[in-house]
Amino acid sequence: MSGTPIANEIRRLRFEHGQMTQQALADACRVTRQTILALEAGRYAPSLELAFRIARAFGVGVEDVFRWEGT
Amino acid sequence: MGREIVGGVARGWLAPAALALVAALGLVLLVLGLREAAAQLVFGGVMLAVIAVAGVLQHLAERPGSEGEAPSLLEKASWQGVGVGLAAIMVLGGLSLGSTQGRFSGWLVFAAYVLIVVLHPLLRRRFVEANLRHCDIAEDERDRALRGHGDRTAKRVLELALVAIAVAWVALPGVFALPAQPVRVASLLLLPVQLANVVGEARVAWLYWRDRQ
Repeated sequence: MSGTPIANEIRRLRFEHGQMTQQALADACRVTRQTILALEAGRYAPSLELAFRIARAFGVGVEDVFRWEGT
Repeated sequence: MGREIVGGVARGWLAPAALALVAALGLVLLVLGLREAAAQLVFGGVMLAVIAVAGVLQHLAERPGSEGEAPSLLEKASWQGVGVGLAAIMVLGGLSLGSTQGRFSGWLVFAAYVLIVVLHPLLRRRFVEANLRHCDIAEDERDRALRGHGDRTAKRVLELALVAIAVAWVALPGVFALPAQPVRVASLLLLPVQLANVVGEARVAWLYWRDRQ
C-alpha cells in the first residue's frame, strides 16, 4: 500500500479551497478521514471512482489532482 | 473533569496490569507444565505469554502516529481479532492436547467455538453498522483493500499450516497417533484456521499502523 507511483495535489487543493479540512473532504467523497490522510501521504492509490469524487469535490479535472510519477 | 482524569488514569493502568497478570499466569502454567511434563499446561503457558506480548504490541501500536493520527475503529478491530484468535488457538490447542480428558466440558467448549464461527459474519456486520451510527463512513475502499491483503496472507498461511500438519501426520505417525476423542482431532484440524486468521488480522493491523507513520 506504499510507494504508489501516483502523486497528488490534494493537500494544496484543500488549502486553496478555503483551508478545507480532511474531514470535510472525506465527507464529500464518502470515505474516512484516514483514507484522505493516506492519500495525501502518497501511501494509497485511489480507485478511479474515488479519484473522480475527489476531483469533483474541488471542481477540477482528475488530471489536475493526480499525476503519474512512475517509470 | 476530575472524574474523567481519574478514569483515564485508571484505564491507563488497567491494560498494563492485566497484561502483566496474563504474562505471570502464563509463566506459572509453563513452569507447572514443565515440572509435571504436561503438554497442555506448557502450551497454555506459552499461549498466555504470546497473548501478553500481542497485548503489549497493540498498546504500542495504538499510540498516535507521526501526524497525531489515532487508530481507526477498524484498526482497533484488527487488534481485537488478533487477541480473540490467539485465545481461540489456546482453547483449540488445549482441546487437541486432551486438556478436558474427553469430558462433557470439552464438547461444550467446542460447541461454543462452532457457534462463534458460524455467527462471526453477523457479528462483524453488526459491528460495522453500529459504527455507522456514530460516523457516516465505517468502512471504505481503502479498508476493504487492506482487508484484502490480510485475507490473501491468511489464505496462504492456512494452506501452509494444513500442509505442515499433513506432512507431520505422515512423517511422525507415532506422535500424531489418532486420539480416541473425536473432539481432539476436530480441534487439531481447526487450529490452522485460527492461526491463519491471527496472521491475517495482524497483517491488516500492521498495514493500518504503517499508513499512520
